[in-house]
Amino acid sequence: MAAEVLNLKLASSATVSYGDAFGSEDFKLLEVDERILKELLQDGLTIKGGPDDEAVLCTSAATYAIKYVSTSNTVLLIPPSEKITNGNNDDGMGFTMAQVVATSSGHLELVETAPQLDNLKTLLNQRPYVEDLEGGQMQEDEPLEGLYSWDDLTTMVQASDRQLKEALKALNAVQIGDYWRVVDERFMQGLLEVIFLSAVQHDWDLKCLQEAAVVQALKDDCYSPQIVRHCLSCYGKKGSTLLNDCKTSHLWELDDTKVCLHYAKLLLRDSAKWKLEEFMKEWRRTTPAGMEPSIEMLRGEALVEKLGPESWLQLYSISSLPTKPADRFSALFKERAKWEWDDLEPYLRDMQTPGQSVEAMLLKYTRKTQPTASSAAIYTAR
Amino acid sequence: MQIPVKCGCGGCEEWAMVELQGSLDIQHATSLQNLSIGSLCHTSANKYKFVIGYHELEGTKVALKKPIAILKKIKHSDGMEIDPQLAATPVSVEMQVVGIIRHKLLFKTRPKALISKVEAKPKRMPTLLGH
Repeated sequence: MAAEVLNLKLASSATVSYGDAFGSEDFKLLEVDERILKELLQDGLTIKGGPDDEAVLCTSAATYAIKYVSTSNTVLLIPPSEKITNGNNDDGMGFTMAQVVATSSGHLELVETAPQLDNLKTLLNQRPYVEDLEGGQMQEDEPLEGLYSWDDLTTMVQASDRQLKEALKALNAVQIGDYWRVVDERFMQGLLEVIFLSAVQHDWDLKCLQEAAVVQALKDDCYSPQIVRHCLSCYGKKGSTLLNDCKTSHLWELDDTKVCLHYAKLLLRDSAKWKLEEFMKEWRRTTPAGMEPSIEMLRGEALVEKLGPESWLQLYSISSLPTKPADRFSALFKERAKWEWDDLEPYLRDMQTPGQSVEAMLLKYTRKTQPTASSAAIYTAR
Repeated sequence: MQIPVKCGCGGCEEWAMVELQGSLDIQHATSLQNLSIGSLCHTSANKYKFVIGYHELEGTKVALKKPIAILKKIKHSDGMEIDPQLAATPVSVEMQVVGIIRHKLLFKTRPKALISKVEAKPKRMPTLLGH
């Protein structure tokens, strides 16, 4: 018995032998820390990956790469066993039988890694939500191709549940019926416009929108309550809760930056390159009154380039860049050979991965030069 | 594709792990089942002696820095081999925790020959070859 092998009394001995079922089963040894072990025993963990992926192991919160560490030593595994022969041998001393069920030539180690979220975007973009029909209800006979439920996504995306939830939130995805969808930008813009028109019509304060009132007003325009709430959550933050005639209603404060950014993206989609002055003029014209666009809001979405006396604004969105550090830096240096820190920083914001700081990545992938002590540092490809 | 890794029993028992330098070389045996490897003896406070054939090894009990979970693959239908690099397995595969290892008996020294004391059935005994 294993416990007896480990707790073998002083001066007593055990006979170690290959068990009757030796070699009939294949065991994997997985090294874990106490925290992961606890979760493993209580709730279980999941190994995820497609045929072309490297498998990862996910806890509820984090994602781990699985590394195989081999050993040249002989490792015998002895399970607890009911078949103990406690008797006396010729010397009159107690002895124990220990049966080896398997040998091991190595074990698996876990290294925390970033979730692989690249394919999530691809999956959701297969079928964006473009129309609000039937109050968001699916037609019975509607084909389900390109639609993914939470269970589909947890199976297909190499990320923990918490990381998947965060990624869906970052992509502004919403669960409609059983399926997670990203909402088409033009549809969203139409909806946002209607909210602004209704706000003017009903004299609402954009910093203090009453959810119930907005939902009610937009029902007449055939927008479902769910999609209206989603729009409010995408462009604003939830404030306090109001109690009106025994009905609860949330207050929403629309976020200047998010709303302005939305309009900037629409302009940049029409034309990827603008003279800065013209862009700012057009941007101010299209954003709703009371909201002041500023060039600072475009960090990570567009770049300003000086060509002679003119400044040009060009679409360059962080969301279009690869997520793996090596690929990200390669794409960045393809766009520009030299980067100043202020321009570069927004494109590295989402790059913090476990065990890899931005500083370490800069050291690895870039060369930093600073012509004079007072001038800005320049980053070039290594 | 997902492979659940979980514990079927609720409270997994501790397994023992015995680690030797080198490899066991089996002589004259046709099958390993029930073949005796050797005799393990707890000699003093944290000293263990492992006699294999006419080799004697000395070792100690070591607590692992991190625990190790022993996983067994459960196939619910025709599955392929689980490779940690490539999870080309059907959904019906599950990894079940069958035990935990927290300690090992580590015999890291080279074996000492026991010339005088030959075991009763040398033909059925494996001998140890050091590296």
